[in-house]
Amino acid sequence: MLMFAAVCCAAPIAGGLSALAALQGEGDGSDDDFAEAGSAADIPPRMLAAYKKAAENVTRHVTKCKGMAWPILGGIAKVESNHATGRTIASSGDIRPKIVGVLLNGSGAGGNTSVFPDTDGGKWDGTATGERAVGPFQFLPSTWQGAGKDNNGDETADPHNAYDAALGAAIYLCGGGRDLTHKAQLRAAIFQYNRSNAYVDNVSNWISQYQAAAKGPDLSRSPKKVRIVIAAALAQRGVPYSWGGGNKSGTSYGTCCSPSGKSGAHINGFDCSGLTVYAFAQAGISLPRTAAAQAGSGKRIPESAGKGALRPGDLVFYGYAPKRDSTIYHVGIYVGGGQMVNAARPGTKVRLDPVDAMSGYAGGARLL
Amino acid sequence: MTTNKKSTSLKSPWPMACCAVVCAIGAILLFTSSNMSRAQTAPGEQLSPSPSPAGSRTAHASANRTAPGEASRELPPRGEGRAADPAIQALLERTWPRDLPARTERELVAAGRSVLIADVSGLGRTRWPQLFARQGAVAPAFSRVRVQAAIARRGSSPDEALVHLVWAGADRGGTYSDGRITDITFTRTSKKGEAIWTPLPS
Repeated sequence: MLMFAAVCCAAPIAGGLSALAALQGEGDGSDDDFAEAGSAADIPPRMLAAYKKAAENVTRHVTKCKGMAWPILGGIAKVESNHATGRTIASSGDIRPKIVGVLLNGSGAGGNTSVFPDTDGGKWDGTATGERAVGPFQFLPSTWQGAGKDNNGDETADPHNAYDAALGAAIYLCGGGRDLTHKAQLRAAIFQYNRSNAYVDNVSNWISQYQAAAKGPDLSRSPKKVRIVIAAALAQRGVPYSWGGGNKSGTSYGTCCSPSGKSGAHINGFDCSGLTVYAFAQAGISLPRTAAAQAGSGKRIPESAGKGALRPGDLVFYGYAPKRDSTIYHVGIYVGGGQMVNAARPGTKVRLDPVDAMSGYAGGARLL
Repeated sequence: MTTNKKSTSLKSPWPMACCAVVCAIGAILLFTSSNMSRAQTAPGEQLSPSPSPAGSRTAHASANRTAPGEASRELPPRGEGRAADPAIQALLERTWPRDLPARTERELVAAGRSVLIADVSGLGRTRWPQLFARQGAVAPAFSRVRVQAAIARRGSSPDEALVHLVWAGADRGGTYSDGRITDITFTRTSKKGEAIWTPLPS
């Protein structure tokens, strides 16, 4: 976590263009680190336990705080450390090896151009020559001095301990007593955590995903045709994505190739719109073959109406300019509870994803 | 965020020094061009029927190729990397027709990129005090940042313009994603007959 209010003064900017170069894409992102949808199942159990315990205990320290919940802490930890992935988390909550960020000495490492003077003599970050963010919530040692609390009962406030770090983050986000059920206050809290609008959008997106995953869909009151369509799509879970694949009869071998050369010619499966064509055909509804064209079907639900306007059985769209249907590049089927069934992209399989799993939400279409 | 009264704004025409810096940044952010085409299923090409995969849940699993005419012409999905960037740029330009003078658009796009980089990395924030006023040291929230496509178009009023950016990047936890969208609104004022574009807080 980056504390700016307590870190005074303009910092020297070193190596601007070299830092920019360091910031630029080193690659396109391998399949290993490409963002996949978030759910509690993806969070190491001890980290999830730490988030939940912190959410429960934060009001002991910030009595007026409302609305702190584990998805909020999960969203922060996801973008700060990917839930301490790759580390060992002891039953005590201690995380090893310790998570330390880049040395913030303005050298350009990791794109950093500002100098953070050392404040802890290396106690938390292992160096007395500068400052590094530490732990799963990436606290600056200087911030931890003010926000850190013990939450695992060992009477030590340790930013490398999952329980302590989660509580520290919860306390920081609660501020003087925020109501985090209010979107504006939640955004303000996240912005205080890291002053970047893109960061706030990113964290908010993950929070929404974790909140959606916690609810689960309920189709018990949905009309018969809705249940037919959703059941047909869900039955395809595990079927591979095939560029150009799928039709009203089911899976098919697709075509070559996507812009990066991924071919569906040898994959018997569905692309995103092929899956929806198939699922709706089971209810006797014929859809056009591409996602953008499907946006012209049924009753359009504008992006401006928000995701809360979606009902189970609606088509869900994503575009590169969300208000322009001709930029729509992806379609899924909303199943309720903030989730959709979709064939996401090459290399994946038909699966459930939160509707917040990708940027560019472009509204929906209701045919049922 | 509040708008600083002393705004550092985009002037048209820009001082040469600012233009050189922006051009340098723009050069770094230039797209990789690539030839892309969506190959169609060859006419008449067929596969002999093959057994349904074990465990297939598809009621009527078909081993047929997608027939010509049924071929999907989907737009680039996420995860296509740099190869999709030109297609996304072309898509934006084709579906959202240019409505600003070309030079104005170029300058706004360059400014929009600069604002985005300042937001995600902290780099260059002092250039935009109306957005990032009185802030201390900043560590980057994102790395491996790449602007995939960007356009500038008229906004909702005659004195507004919108820079629409599609970009990729990894957060500090290491999770990489593309197709991220940021819209930055600029407002135009006039000083001594020159148009000044100033980014607005989101």
